Amino acid sequence: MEDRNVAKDADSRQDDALVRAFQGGEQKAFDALVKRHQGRIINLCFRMLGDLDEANDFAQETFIKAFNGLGRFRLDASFSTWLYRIAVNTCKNRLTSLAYRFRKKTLPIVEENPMETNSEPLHLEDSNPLPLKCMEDKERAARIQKAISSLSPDQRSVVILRDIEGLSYEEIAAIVRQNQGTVKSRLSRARQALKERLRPILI
Amino acid sequence: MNACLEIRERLSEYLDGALDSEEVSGIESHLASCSACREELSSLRAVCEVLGTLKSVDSPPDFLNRLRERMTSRSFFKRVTRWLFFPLKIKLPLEFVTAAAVGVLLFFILTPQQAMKPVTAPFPKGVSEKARKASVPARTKEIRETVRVGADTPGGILPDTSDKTESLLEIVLEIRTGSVLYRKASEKEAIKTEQQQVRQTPRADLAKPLEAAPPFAEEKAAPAPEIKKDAKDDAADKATHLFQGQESVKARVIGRIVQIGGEVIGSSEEREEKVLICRIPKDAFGRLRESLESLGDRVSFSKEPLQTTADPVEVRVRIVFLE
Repeated sequence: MEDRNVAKDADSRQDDALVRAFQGGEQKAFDALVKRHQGRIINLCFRMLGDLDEANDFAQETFIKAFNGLGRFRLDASFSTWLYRIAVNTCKNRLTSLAYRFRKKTLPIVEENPMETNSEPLHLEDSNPLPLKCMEDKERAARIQKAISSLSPDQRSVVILRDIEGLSYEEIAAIVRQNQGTVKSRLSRARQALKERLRPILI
Repeated sequence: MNACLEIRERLSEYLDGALDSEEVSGIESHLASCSACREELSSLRAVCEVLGTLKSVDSPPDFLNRLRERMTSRSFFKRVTRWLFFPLKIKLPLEFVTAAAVGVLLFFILTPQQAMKPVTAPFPKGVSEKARKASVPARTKEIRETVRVGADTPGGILPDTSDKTESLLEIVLEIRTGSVLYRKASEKEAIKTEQQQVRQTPRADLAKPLEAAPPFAEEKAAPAPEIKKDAKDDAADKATHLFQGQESVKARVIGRIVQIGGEVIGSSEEREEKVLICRIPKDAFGRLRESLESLGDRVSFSKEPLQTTADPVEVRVRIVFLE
Protein backbone atom coordinates (compact mmCIF):
# COMPACT_ATOMS: atom_id res chain seq x y z
CA MET A 1 0.00 0.00 0.00
CA GLU A 2 2.86 2.33 0.86
CA ASP A 3 4.56 1.62 -2.48
CA ARG A 4 1.32 2.42 -4.21
CA ASN A 5 1.05 5.75 -2.42
CA VAL A 6 4.64 6.59 -3.30
CA ALA A 7 3.93 5.80 -6.96
CA LYS A 8 0.80 7.89 -6.77
CA ASP A 9 2.73 10.81 -5.38
CA ALA A 10 5.28 10.52 -8.13
CA ASP A 11 2.49 10.42 -10.72
CA SER A 12 0.84 13.38 -9.11
CA ARG A 13 4.08 15.38 -9.16
CA GLN A 14 4.55 14.60 -12.84
CA ASP A 15 0.99 15.72 -13.53
CA ASP A 16 1.61 18.96 -11.65
CA ALA A 17 4.75 19.63 -13.67
CA LEU A 18 2.86 19.05 -16.93
CA VAL A 19 0.01 21.29 -15.79
CA ARG A 20 2.46 24.06 -14.95
CA ALA A 21 4.16 23.61 -18.31
CA PHE A 22 0.78 23.89 -20.07
CA GLN A 23 -0.12 26.96 -18.07
CA GLY A 24 3.26 28.39 -19.04
CA GLY A 25 2.25 28.12 -22.70
CA GLU A 26 3.56 24.69 -23.65
CA GLN A 27 0.62 23.13 -25.51
CA LYS A 28 2.40 19.79 -25.96
CA ALA A 29 2.21 19.21 -22.21
CA PHE A 30 -1.52 18.67 -22.61
CA ASP A 31 -0.91 15.79 -25.05
CA ALA A 32 1.28 14.16 -22.41
CA LEU A 33 -1.48 14.56 -19.83
CA VAL A 34 -3.99 12.99 -22.22
CA LYS A 35 -1.70 10.04 -22.88
CA ARG A 36 -1.17 9.49 -19.18
CA HIS A 37 -4.87 9.51 -18.27
CA GLN A 38 -6.81 8.47 -21.36
CA GLY A 39 -6.95 4.77 -20.40
CA ARG A 40 -8.47 5.36 -17.00
CA ILE A 41 -10.86 8.03 -18.24
CA ILE A 42 -12.11 5.86 -21.12
CA ASN A 43 -12.55 2.94 -18.73
CA LEU A 44 -14.46 5.10 -16.26
CA CYS A 45 -16.70 6.42 -19.05
CA PHE A 46 -17.28 2.91 -20.35
CA ARG A 47 -18.33 1.65 -16.91
CA MET A 48 -20.53 4.69 -16.39
CA LEU A 49 -22.22 4.59 -19.81
CA GLY A 50 -21.98 0.89 -20.70
CA ASP A 51 -21.13 1.58 -24.34
CA LEU A 52 -17.63 1.73 -25.83
CA ASP A 53 -18.36 4.23 -28.60
CA GLU A 54 -20.08 6.56 -26.18
CA ALA A 55 -17.23 6.05 -23.72
CA ASN A 56 -14.68 7.24 -26.30
CA ASP A 57 -16.90 10.13 -27.24
CA PHE A 58 -17.41 11.32 -23.68
CA ALA A 59 -13.80 10.73 -22.72
CA GLN A 60 -12.90 13.14 -25.51
CA GLU A 61 -15.52 15.55 -24.23
CA THR A 62 -13.88 15.28 -20.79
CA PHE A 63 -10.46 16.16 -22.19
CA ILE A 64 -11.86 19.06 -24.19
CA LYS A 65 -13.42 20.46 -21.03
CA ALA A 66 -10.16 19.90 -19.19
CA PHE A 67 -8.24 21.70 -21.95
CA ASN A 68 -10.59 24.67 -21.72
CA GLY A 69 -10.39 24.82 -17.92
CA LEU A 70 -6.76 23.92 -17.35
CA GLY A 71 -5.60 27.51 -17.62
CA ARG A 72 -7.65 28.35 -14.54
CA PHE A 73 -6.84 25.14 -12.66
CA ARG A 74 -5.05 25.76 -9.39
CA LEU A 75 -2.92 22.98 -8.06
CA ASP A 76 -4.70 22.77 -4.71
CA ALA A 77 -6.21 19.43 -5.78
CA SER A 78 -4.51 16.73 -7.77
CA PHE A 79 -4.94 16.86 -11.54
CA SER A 80 -6.28 13.29 -11.65
CA THR A 81 -8.98 14.08 -9.06
CA TRP A 82 -9.97 17.13 -11.06
CA LEU A 83 -10.03 15.14 -14.31
CA TYR A 84 -12.05 12.33 -12.75
CA ARG A 85 -14.52 14.89 -11.50
CA ILE A 86 -14.98 16.30 -14.99
CA ALA A 87 -15.42 12.78 -16.39
CA VAL A 88 -17.95 11.73 -13.75
CA ASN A 89 -19.97 14.91 -14.21
CA THR A 90 -19.86 14.64 -17.99
CA CYS A 91 -21.12 11.05 -17.82
CA LYS A 92 -23.76 11.89 -15.24
CA ASN A 93 -25.03 14.69 -17.44
CA ARG A 94 -25.22 12.27 -20.30
CA LEU A 95 -27.07 9.69 -18.20
CA THR A 96 -29.65 12.23 -17.11
CA SER A 97 -30.03 13.83 -20.54
CA LEU A 98 -33.31 13.42 -22.36
CA ALA A 99 -31.57 12.15 -25.47
CA TYR A 100 -29.91 9.32 -23.55
CA ARG A 101 -33.07 8.30 -21.74
CA PHE A 102 -35.07 8.36 -24.96
CA ARG A 103 -32.43 6.26 -26.72
CA LYS A 104 -32.36 3.84 -23.83
CA LYS A 105 -36.12 3.43 -24.00
CA THR A 106 -36.16 2.70 -27.71
CA LEU A 107 -33.18 0.33 -27.87
CA PRO A 108 -34.16 -3.31 -28.30
CA ILE A 109 -32.65 -5.48 -25.61
CA VAL A 110 -30.87 -8.08 -27.68
CA GLU A 111 -28.38 -8.96 -25.01
CA GLU A 112 -31.03 -10.14 -22.56
CA ASN A 113 -29.95 -13.70 -22.97
CA PRO A 114 -27.52 -14.27 -25.80
CA MET A 115 -27.91 -18.05 -25.63
CA GLU A 116 -31.65 -17.82 -26.32
CA THR A 117 -31.77 -14.94 -28.78
CA ASN A 118 -29.06 -16.33 -31.03
CA SER A 119 -30.91 -18.14 -33.79
CA GLU A 120 -27.76 -19.90 -34.99
CA PRO A 121 -27.05 -22.97 -32.89
CA LEU A 122 -23.64 -22.90 -31.37
CA HIS A 123 -21.27 -25.53 -32.68
CA LEU A 124 -18.69 -26.22 -30.02
CA GLU A 125 -17.42 -29.56 -31.15
CA ASP A 126 -13.87 -28.42 -30.75
CA SER A 127 -12.48 -29.98 -27.64
CA ASN A 128 -10.46 -26.86 -26.98
CA PRO A 129 -12.23 -25.24 -23.98
CA LEU A 130 -10.93 -21.72 -24.76
CA PRO A 131 -13.76 -20.43 -27.01
CA LEU A 132 -16.35 -21.53 -24.48
CA LYS A 133 -14.37 -19.98 -21.67
CA CYS A 134 -14.00 -16.82 -23.70
CA MET A 135 -17.73 -16.66 -24.37
CA GLU A 136 -18.55 -17.30 -20.74
CA ASP A 137 -16.24 -14.50 -19.70
CA LYS A 138 -17.87 -12.14 -22.18
CA GLU A 139 -21.32 -13.06 -21.01
CA ARG A 140 -20.31 -12.66 -17.41
CA ALA A 141 -18.75 -9.27 -18.08
CA ALA A 142 -21.90 -8.19 -19.91
CA ARG A 143 -24.04 -9.24 -16.95
CA ILE A 144 -21.85 -7.38 -14.51
CA GLN A 145 -21.94 -4.27 -16.70
CA LYS A 146 -25.71 -4.55 -16.94
CA ALA A 147 -25.94 -4.75 -13.15
CA ILE A 148 -23.72 -1.66 -12.82
CA SER A 149 -25.85 0.16 -15.38
CA SER A 150 -28.95 -0.56 -13.33
CA LEU A 151 -27.60 1.58 -10.46
CA SER A 152 -28.37 5.25 -10.09
CA PRO A 153 -25.68 7.58 -11.54
CA ASP A 154 -24.54 8.54 -8.02
CA GLN A 155 -24.19 4.93 -6.80
CA ARG A 156 -22.66 3.92 -10.11
CA SER A 157 -19.91 6.52 -9.94
CA VAL A 158 -19.00 5.65 -6.35
CA VAL A 159 -18.82 1.89 -6.89
CA ILE A 160 -16.82 2.28 -10.12
CA LEU A 161 -14.33 4.65 -8.51
CA ARG A 162 -13.92 2.37 -5.50
CA ASP A 163 -14.17 -1.21 -6.74
CA ILE A 164 -12.98 -0.82 -10.35
CA GLU A 165 -10.61 2.14 -10.21
CA GLY A 166 -9.47 1.34 -6.67
CA LEU A 167 -9.57 4.91 -5.32
CA SER A 168 -9.70 5.73 -1.62
CA TYR A 169 -12.77 7.12 0.18
CA GLU A 170 -10.96 10.41 0.46
CA GLU A 171 -10.27 10.67 -3.25
CA ILE A 172 -13.81 9.63 -4.12
CA ALA A 173 -15.21 12.21 -1.72
CA ALA A 174 -13.06 14.86 -3.42
CA ILE A 175 -14.18 13.75 -6.88
CA VAL A 176 -17.90 13.62 -6.18
CA ARG A 177 -17.70 16.59 -3.81
CA GLN A 178 -19.48 14.83 -0.95
CA ASN A 179 -18.32 14.00 2.54
CA GLN A 180 -16.88 10.58 3.23
CA GLY A 181 -19.97 9.48 5.20
CA THR A 182 -22.13 9.99 2.12
CA VAL A 183 -19.62 8.15 -0.02
CA LYS A 184 -19.57 5.19 2.40
CA SER A 185 -23.33 4.87 2.59
CA ARG A 186 -23.70 5.21 -1.20
CA LEU A 187 -21.07 2.55 -1.69
CA SER A 188 -22.70 0.23 0.83
CA ARG A 189 -26.08 0.56 -0.90
CA ALA A 190 -24.54 0.11 -4.33
CA ARG A 191 -22.79 -3.09 -3.25
CA GLN A 192 -25.97 -4.41 -1.68
CA ALA A 193 -27.86 -3.78 -4.91
CA LEU A 194 -25.15 -5.42 -7.00
CA LYS A 195 -25.09 -8.41 -4.66
CA GLU A 196 -28.79 -8.99 -5.36
CA ARG A 197 -28.45 -8.55 -9.09
CA LEU A 198 -25.33 -10.64 -9.47
CA ARG A 199 -26.46 -13.46 -7.19
CA PRO A 200 -26.73 -16.01 -10.06
CA ILE A 201 -23.10 -15.57 -11.09
CA LEU A 202 -21.68 -15.14 -7.61
CA ILE A 203 -22.58 -18.67 -6.52
CA MET B 1 -32.06 -9.04 14.37
CA ASN B 2 -31.45 -5.34 14.90
CA ALA B 3 -27.84 -6.13 15.68
CA CYS B 4 -27.59 -7.95 12.36
CA LEU B 5 -28.98 -4.91 10.47
CA GLU B 6 -26.48 -2.62 12.13
CA ILE B 7 -23.63 -5.00 11.42
CA ARG B 8 -24.64 -5.40 7.77
CA GLU B 9 -24.65 -1.66 7.27
CA ARG B 10 -21.01 -1.58 8.34
CA LEU B 11 -19.86 -4.64 6.40
CA SER B 12 -18.99 -2.59 3.32
CA GLU B 13 -16.62 -0.42 5.36
CA TYR B 14 -15.34 -3.51 7.21
CA LEU B 15 -14.39 -5.02 3.85
CA ASP B 16 -12.53 -1.86 2.89
CA GLY B 17 -10.67 -1.78 6.19
CA ALA B 18 -12.14 1.61 6.95
CA LEU B 19 -13.21 0.89 10.55
CA ASP B 20 -11.24 1.39 13.73
CA SER B 21 -10.07 -1.60 15.79
CA GLU B 22 -12.94 -1.38 18.27
CA GLU B 23 -15.58 -1.49 15.54
CA VAL B 24 -13.70 -4.30 13.83
CA SER B 25 -13.62 -6.46 16.97
CA GLY B 26 -17.36 -5.80 17.53
CA ILE B 27 -18.20 -6.92 14.01
CA GLU B 28 -15.92 -9.94 14.18
CA SER B 29 -17.42 -11.17 17.45
CA HIS B 30 -20.90 -10.87 15.88
CA LEU B 31 -19.79 -12.68 12.74
CA ALA B 32 -18.42 -15.53 14.83
CA SER B 33 -21.87 -16.19 16.20
CA CYS B 34 -24.08 -15.27 13.17
CA SER B 35 -23.92 -17.42 10.06
CA ALA B 36 -26.38 -15.20 8.10
CA CYS B 37 -24.10 -12.20 8.49
CA ARG B 38 -21.10 -14.33 7.53
CA GLU B 39 -22.91 -15.24 4.33
CA GLU B 40 -23.73 -11.63 3.71
CA LEU B 41 -20.09 -10.71 4.15
CA SER B 42 -18.91 -13.37 1.77
CA SER B 43 -21.45 -12.24 -0.88
CA LEU B 44 -20.28 -8.65 -0.58
CA ARG B 45 -16.67 -9.75 -0.81
CA ALA B 46 -17.54 -11.72 -3.95
CA VAL B 47 -19.13 -8.61 -5.47
CA CYS B 48 -16.00 -6.58 -4.82
CA GLU B 49 -13.81 -9.30 -6.26
CA VAL B 50 -15.98 -9.67 -9.35
CA LEU B 51 -15.84 -5.93 -9.98
CA GLY B 52 -12.11 -5.95 -9.46
CA THR B 53 -11.63 -8.66 -12.07
CA LEU B 54 -13.33 -6.67 -14.84
CA LYS B 55 -10.90 -6.01 -17.65
CA SER B 56 -10.12 -2.45 -18.56
CA VAL B 57 -11.20 -1.47 -22.03
CA ASP B 58 -8.44 -0.60 -24.45
CA SER B 59 -8.19 2.99 -25.51
CA PRO B 60 -8.23 3.38 -29.29
CA PRO B 61 -4.77 4.06 -30.78
CA ASP B 62 -6.00 7.20 -32.58
CA PHE B 63 -7.63 8.66 -29.49
CA LEU B 64 -5.27 11.62 -29.24
CA ASN B 65 -5.43 12.39 -32.97
CA ARG B 66 -9.20 12.32 -32.94
CA LEU B 67 -9.21 14.50 -29.88
CA ARG B 68 -6.97 17.04 -31.64
CA GLU B 69 -9.26 17.02 -34.71
CA ARG B 70 -12.28 17.55 -32.56
CA MET B 71 -10.63 20.37 -30.67
CA THR B 72 -9.62 22.05 -33.92
CA SER B 73 -13.12 21.85 -35.34
CA ARG B 74 -14.53 22.97 -31.99
CA SER B 75 -12.17 25.94 -31.91
CA PHE B 76 -13.21 26.87 -35.47
CA PHE B 77 -16.83 26.74 -34.38
CA LYS B 78 -15.92 28.75 -31.33
CA ARG B 79 -14.18 31.37 -33.48
CA VAL B 80 -17.24 31.65 -35.72
CA THR B 81 -19.51 31.93 -32.69
CA ARG B 82 -17.24 34.56 -31.21
CA TRP B 83 -17.20 36.45 -34.48
CA LEU B 84 -20.99 36.30 -34.71
CA PHE B 85 -21.96 37.07 -31.15
CA PHE B 86 -19.10 38.67 -29.29
CA PRO B 87 -18.60 41.22 -27.89
CA LEU B 88 -22.17 40.80 -26.67
CA LYS B 89 -22.51 44.45 -25.73
CA ILE B 90 -22.25 45.56 -29.33
CA LYS B 91 -23.35 42.62 -31.41
CA LEU B 92 -26.51 41.55 -29.63
CA PRO B 93 -28.22 44.97 -29.84
CA LEU B 94 -27.11 45.24 -33.46
CA GLU B 95 -28.51 41.82 -34.25
CA PHE B 96 -31.72 42.64 -32.44
CA VAL B 97 -32.15 45.89 -34.37
CA THR B 98 -31.42 44.13 -37.66
CA ALA B 99 -33.94 41.39 -36.87
CA ALA B 100 -36.55 44.00 -35.97
CA ALA B 101 -35.84 45.92 -39.19
CA VAL B 102 -36.18 42.76 -41.26
CA GLY B 103 -39.44 41.99 -39.45
CA VAL B 104 -40.86 45.43 -40.26
CA LEU B 105 -39.72 45.15 -43.88
CA LEU B 106 -41.33 41.73 -44.24
CA PHE B 107 -44.53 43.08 -42.72
CA PHE B 108 -44.70 45.82 -45.34
CA ILE B 109 -43.79 43.48 -48.17
CA LEU B 110 -46.28 40.82 -47.21
CA THR B 111 -49.18 43.10 -46.26
CA PRO B 112 -51.53 43.61 -49.25
CA GLN B 113 -51.45 47.17 -50.55
CA GLN B 114 -55.24 47.49 -50.37
CA ALA B 115 -55.29 46.78 -46.65
CA MET B 116 -52.80 49.51 -45.95
CA LYS B 117 -54.94 52.27 -47.45
CA PRO B 118 -56.96 54.08 -44.79
CA VAL B 119 -60.69 54.31 -45.39
CA THR B 120 -60.63 58.00 -44.70
CA ALA B 121 -57.51 60.05 -44.46
CA PRO B 122 -58.36 63.71 -44.63
CA PHE B 123 -54.88 64.63 -43.47
CA PRO B 124 -51.65 62.76 -43.61
CA LYS B 125 -50.25 61.59 -40.32
CA GLY B 126 -47.68 63.80 -38.76
CA VAL B 127 -49.48 67.06 -39.54
CA SER B 128 -49.91 68.94 -36.32
CA GLU B 129 -53.34 69.67 -34.95
CA LYS B 130 -52.83 73.38 -35.42
CA ALA B 131 -51.83 73.02 -39.05
CA ARG B 132 -54.80 70.79 -39.63
CA LYS B 133 -57.22 73.31 -38.15
CA ALA B 134 -55.69 76.07 -40.22
CA SER B 135 -56.21 74.13 -43.43
CA VAL B 136 -59.78 73.15 -42.64
CA PRO B 137 -62.27 75.27 -44.53
CA ALA B 138 -65.06 76.90 -42.60
CA ARG B 139 -67.15 73.81 -43.05
CA THR B 140 -65.91 70.40 -44.14
CA LYS B 141 -68.11 67.46 -44.78
CA GLU B 142 -66.78 64.04 -45.45
CA ILE B 143 -68.72 61.06 -46.56
CA ARG B 144 -67.47 57.60 -45.92
CA GLU B 145 -69.30 54.57 -47.10
CA THR B 146 -68.78 51.06 -45.93
CA VAL B 147 -70.67 47.95 -46.82
CA ARG B 148 -71.07 45.34 -44.11
CA VAL B 149 -72.19 41.86 -44.96
CA GLY B 150 -74.52 40.02 -42.61
CA ALA B 151 -77.14 41.09 -40.15
CA ASP B 152 -75.71 43.59 -37.72
CA THR B 153 -77.68 45.23 -34.99
CA PRO B 154 -75.30 47.13 -32.76
CA GLY B 155 -76.81 48.57 -29.62
CA GLY B 156 -80.24 47.33 -30.59
CA ILE B 157 -80.70 50.16 -33.04
CA LEU B 158 -81.96 48.00 -35.84
CA PRO B 159 -85.16 46.07 -35.94
CA ASP B 160 -84.73 42.41 -36.84
CA THR B 161 -84.21 42.50 -40.57
CA SER B 162 -82.70 39.10 -41.11
CA ASP B 163 -85.73 37.83 -42.99
CA LYS B 164 -85.89 40.83 -45.27
CA THR B 165 -82.40 41.75 -46.22
CA GLU B 166 -79.21 39.81 -46.67
CA SER B 167 -76.84 42.61 -45.95
CA LEU B 168 -76.73 45.84 -44.07
CA LEU B 169 -75.52 48.86 -45.95
CA GLU B 170 -74.01 51.65 -44.07
CA ILE B 171 -73.19 55.17 -45.11
CA VAL B 172 -71.02 57.12 -42.74
CA LEU B 173 -71.33 60.85 -43.04
CA GLU B 174 -68.66 62.73 -41.15
CA ILE B 175 -69.35 66.38 -40.49
CA ARG B 176 -66.51 68.51 -39.29
CA THR B 177 -68.26 70.98 -37.02
CA GLY B 178 -65.48 73.52 -36.55
CA SER B 179 -67.24 76.62 -35.39
CA VAL B 180 -69.73 76.70 -38.23
CA LEU B 181 -72.48 75.02 -36.29
CA TYR B 182 -72.55 77.85 -33.79
CA ARG B 183 -74.89 79.74 -35.96
CA LYS B 184 -76.17 83.19 -35.50
CA ALA B 185 -78.95 83.67 -33.06
CA SER B 186 -81.25 84.73 -35.87
CA GLU B 187 -81.03 81.25 -37.41
CA LYS B 188 -81.91 79.51 -34.15
CA GLU B 189 -85.64 79.77 -34.59
CA ALA B 190 -85.63 78.43 -38.13
CA ILE B 191 -83.61 75.41 -37.08
CA LYS B 192 -85.79 74.80 -34.09
CA THR B 193 -88.96 74.87 -36.19
CA GLU B 194 -87.39 72.56 -38.73
CA GLN B 195 -86.42 70.15 -35.99
CA GLN B 196 -89.87 70.07 -34.46
CA GLN B 197 -91.42 69.46 -37.85
CA VAL B 198 -89.11 66.56 -38.44
CA ARG B 199 -90.08 64.98 -35.17
CA GLN B 200 -93.82 65.50 -35.64
CA THR B 201 -94.09 64.63 -39.29
CA PRO B 202 -95.11 61.08 -40.17
CA ARG B 203 -92.39 59.22 -42.07
CA ALA B 204 -94.05 59.49 -45.49
CA ASP B 205 -94.26 63.26 -45.19
CA LEU B 206 -90.70 63.85 -44.10
CA ALA B 207 -89.68 65.41 -47.39
CA LYS B 208 -91.84 68.47 -47.12
CA PRO B 209 -90.45 70.31 -44.08
CA LEU B 210 -86.92 69.28 -44.98
CA GLU B 211 -87.15 70.81 -48.40
CA ALA B 212 -88.05 74.02 -46.69
CA ALA B 213 -84.78 74.05 -44.75
CA PRO B 214 -82.22 76.61 -45.90
CA PRO B 215 -79.79 75.19 -48.50
CA PHE B 216 -76.54 73.94 -47.10
CA ALA B 217 -74.52 76.16 -49.40
CA GLU B 218 -75.85 79.19 -47.63
CA GLU B 219 -74.45 78.01 -44.35
CA LYS B 220 -71.18 77.29 -46.06
CA ALA B 221 -71.01 80.86 -47.28
CA ALA B 222 -71.07 82.28 -43.78
CA PRO B 223 -68.07 84.60 -43.33
CA ALA B 224 -65.30 83.41 -41.03
CA PRO B 225 -64.95 86.57 -38.84
CA GLU B 226 -68.59 86.29 -37.91
CA ILE B 227 -68.05 82.71 -36.86
CA LYS B 228 -65.16 83.68 -34.68
CA LYS B 229 -67.29 86.23 -33.02
CA ASP B 230 -69.97 83.62 -32.35
CA ALA B 231 -67.42 81.28 -30.89
CA LYS B 232 -66.97 83.69 -28.03
CA ASP B 233 -70.53 83.05 -26.83
CA ASP B 234 -70.96 81.48 -23.45
CA ALA B 235 -70.64 77.66 -23.13
CA ALA B 236 -74.36 76.92 -22.67
CA ASP B 237 -75.24 78.86 -25.75
CA LYS B 238 -72.58 77.02 -27.71
CA ALA B 239 -73.98 73.69 -26.63
CA THR B 240 -77.46 74.68 -27.72
CA HIS B 241 -76.16 75.86 -31.06
CA LEU B 242 -74.19 72.73 -31.53
CA PHE B 243 -77.20 70.57 -30.77
CA GLN B 244 -79.37 72.55 -33.14
CA GLY B 245 -76.72 72.43 -35.85
CA GLN B 246 -76.51 68.68 -35.53
CA GLU B 247 -80.28 68.38 -35.70
CA SER B 248 -80.27 70.49 -38.81
CA VAL B 249 -77.80 68.16 -40.52
CA LYS B 250 -79.86 65.18 -39.43
CA ALA B 251 -83.00 66.75 -40.83
CA ARG B 252 -81.26 67.34 -44.12
CA VAL B 253 -80.20 63.73 -44.32
CA ILE B 254 -83.75 62.58 -43.60
CA GLY B 255 -84.91 64.90 -46.34
CA ARG B 256 -82.53 63.28 -48.83
CA ILE B 257 -83.70 59.83 -47.83
CA VAL B 258 -87.32 60.70 -48.37
CA GLN B 259 -86.47 62.44 -51.64
CA ILE B 260 -85.19 59.26 -53.21
CA GLY B 261 -88.30 57.36 -52.15
CA GLY B 262 -87.08 55.83 -48.90
CA GLU B 263 -88.39 55.96 -45.41
CA VAL B 264 -86.75 56.25 -42.01
CA ILE B 265 -87.62 53.28 -39.84
CA GLY B 266 -85.49 53.89 -36.82
CA SER B 267 -82.92 56.18 -35.30
CA SER B 268 -80.64 56.54 -32.36
CA GLU B 269 -78.28 59.19 -31.26
CA GLU B 270 -75.45 59.91 -28.97
CA ARG B 271 -73.55 63.08 -28.32
CA GLU B 272 -71.24 62.93 -31.34
CA GLU B 273 -73.16 60.60 -33.56
CA LYS B 274 -76.61 60.19 -35.01
CA VAL B 275 -77.75 57.02 -36.69
CA LEU B 276 -80.68 56.75 -39.06
CA ILE B 277 -81.99 53.42 -40.23
CA CYS B 278 -83.87 53.71 -43.46
CA ARG B 279 -85.47 51.45 -45.99
CA ILE B 280 -84.95 52.41 -49.59
CA PRO B 281 -85.61 50.80 -52.97
CA LYS B 282 -82.55 48.85 -54.02
CA ASP B 283 -82.01 50.85 -57.20
CA ALA B 284 -82.19 54.10 -55.21
CA PHE B 285 -79.09 53.32 -53.18
CA GLY B 286 -76.77 54.95 -55.70
CA ARG B 287 -78.94 58.05 -55.79
CA LEU B 288 -78.97 58.27 -51.99
CA ARG B 289 -75.25 58.00 -51.92
CA GLU B 290 -74.85 60.78 -54.50
CA SER B 291 -77.42 62.84 -52.73
CA LEU B 292 -75.58 62.59 -49.42
CA GLU B 293 -72.30 63.25 -51.16
CA SER B 294 -73.59 66.56 -52.30
CA LEU B 295 -73.73 67.60 -48.66
CA GLY B 296 -69.96 67.90 -48.79
CA ASP B 297 -66.74 66.73 -50.34
CA ARG B 298 -66.35 63.03 -50.76
CA VAL B 299 -63.12 61.76 -49.30
CA SER B 300 -63.22 58.09 -50.01
CA PHE B 301 -65.75 55.97 -51.67
CA SER B 302 -66.31 52.26 -52.02
CA LYS B 303 -66.81 51.22 -55.60
CA GLU B 304 -68.12 47.81 -54.71
CA PRO B 305 -71.47 47.05 -56.28
CA LEU B 306 -74.46 46.41 -54.10
CA GLN B 307 -74.20 42.76 -53.06
CA THR B 308 -77.72 41.94 -52.09
CA THR B 309 -80.82 40.41 -53.60
CA ALA B 310 -83.19 42.07 -51.17
CA ASP B 311 -85.42 44.88 -52.30
CA PRO B 312 -86.04 47.25 -50.60
CA VAL B 313 -82.70 47.39 -48.80
CA GLU B 314 -82.04 48.74 -45.37
CA VAL B 315 -79.35 51.34 -45.04
CA ARG B 316 -77.84 52.73 -41.92
CA VAL B 317 -76.68 56.31 -42.17
CA ARG B 318 -74.27 57.28 -39.42
CA ILE B 319 -73.72 60.99 -39.07
CA VAL B 320 -70.53 61.52 -37.12
CA PHE B 321 -69.76 64.98 -35.87
CA LEU B 322 -66.08 65.73 -35.63
CA GLU B 323 -64.55 68.62 -33.77
